[in-house]
Amino acid sequence: MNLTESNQRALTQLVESGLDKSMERLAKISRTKWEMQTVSLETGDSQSFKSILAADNKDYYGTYFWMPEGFFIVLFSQSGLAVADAFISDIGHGATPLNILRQNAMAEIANIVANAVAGTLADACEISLMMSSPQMARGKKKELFNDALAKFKSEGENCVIMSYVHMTSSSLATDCTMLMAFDNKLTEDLRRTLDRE
Amino acid sequence: MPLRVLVVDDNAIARALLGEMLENIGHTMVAEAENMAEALKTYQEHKPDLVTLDLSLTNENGIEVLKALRKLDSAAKILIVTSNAQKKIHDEVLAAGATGFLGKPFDRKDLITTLAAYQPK
Repeated sequence: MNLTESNQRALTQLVESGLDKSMERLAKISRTKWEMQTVSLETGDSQSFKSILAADNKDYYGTYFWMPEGFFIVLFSQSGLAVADAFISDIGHGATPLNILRQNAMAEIANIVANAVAGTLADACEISLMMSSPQMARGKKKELFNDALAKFKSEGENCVIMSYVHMTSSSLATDCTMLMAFDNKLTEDLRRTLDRE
Repeated sequence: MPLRVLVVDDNAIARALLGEMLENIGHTMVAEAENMAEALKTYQEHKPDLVTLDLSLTNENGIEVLKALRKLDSAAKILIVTSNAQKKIHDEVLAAGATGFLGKPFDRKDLITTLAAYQPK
């Protein structure tokens, strides 16, 4: 998707507005004030992102959210585990194994972030986006992205938006990458909205 | 008066946490379900005062589960519990027969306030 400078600014503002909402919601369950800083936001087609993502060889914890119009993937690096642990410490564990709790915590954090951003974009476009429940996977960014593309078959070229976000609290920090892939119709809805903003 | 609640969510930990919160504020999770078939079966068995329903179920659309529950019992009280705060979804869910909306994440105070509306007068 080719965006004008004005479109790019409007898109960044929308994504940041969604991220701000997600921070308020995360603060509620973790009783910790979080801040998010959008370090970068890039747009393009799926082919160009395959090359960009191939440059990162680290393993990530990925959470997929499917919708008829595309998908979201929220990716946390290893430092995301510390953030998940901070969330778990405020919740009673019962007999649930720690690795399951961590997995659920990361999925829930990703759920809050993805739904807040998707909700902001959907409301701005005056449409609805029905997201699936979170599905977790682990791997390199390029593999996780390719797996999602293989599952999501749409006509024409997908528009991909990647937002790289730095999350901090008073004692923790982690980096989060959000990949959003949209079909042609949703891309056009978004473009019309950005032209109006 | 304690409410008897059926909790519908595909995440077992989310169901357990909500069940624990309900008990802590004086209500009871009488049953739980993770999909439409279980929700309908347990609704018929337990006739709960209230259903809490997550919109994002694995391989199922929560709005279809809502409609099926309303078809089973037109007087069913169904509270949607979801991280999806989109305006159009909110409107669609209310039009499909939901009796309330509780945004995730929520705390004890949010739950008490929301459930107060379901207490018999």
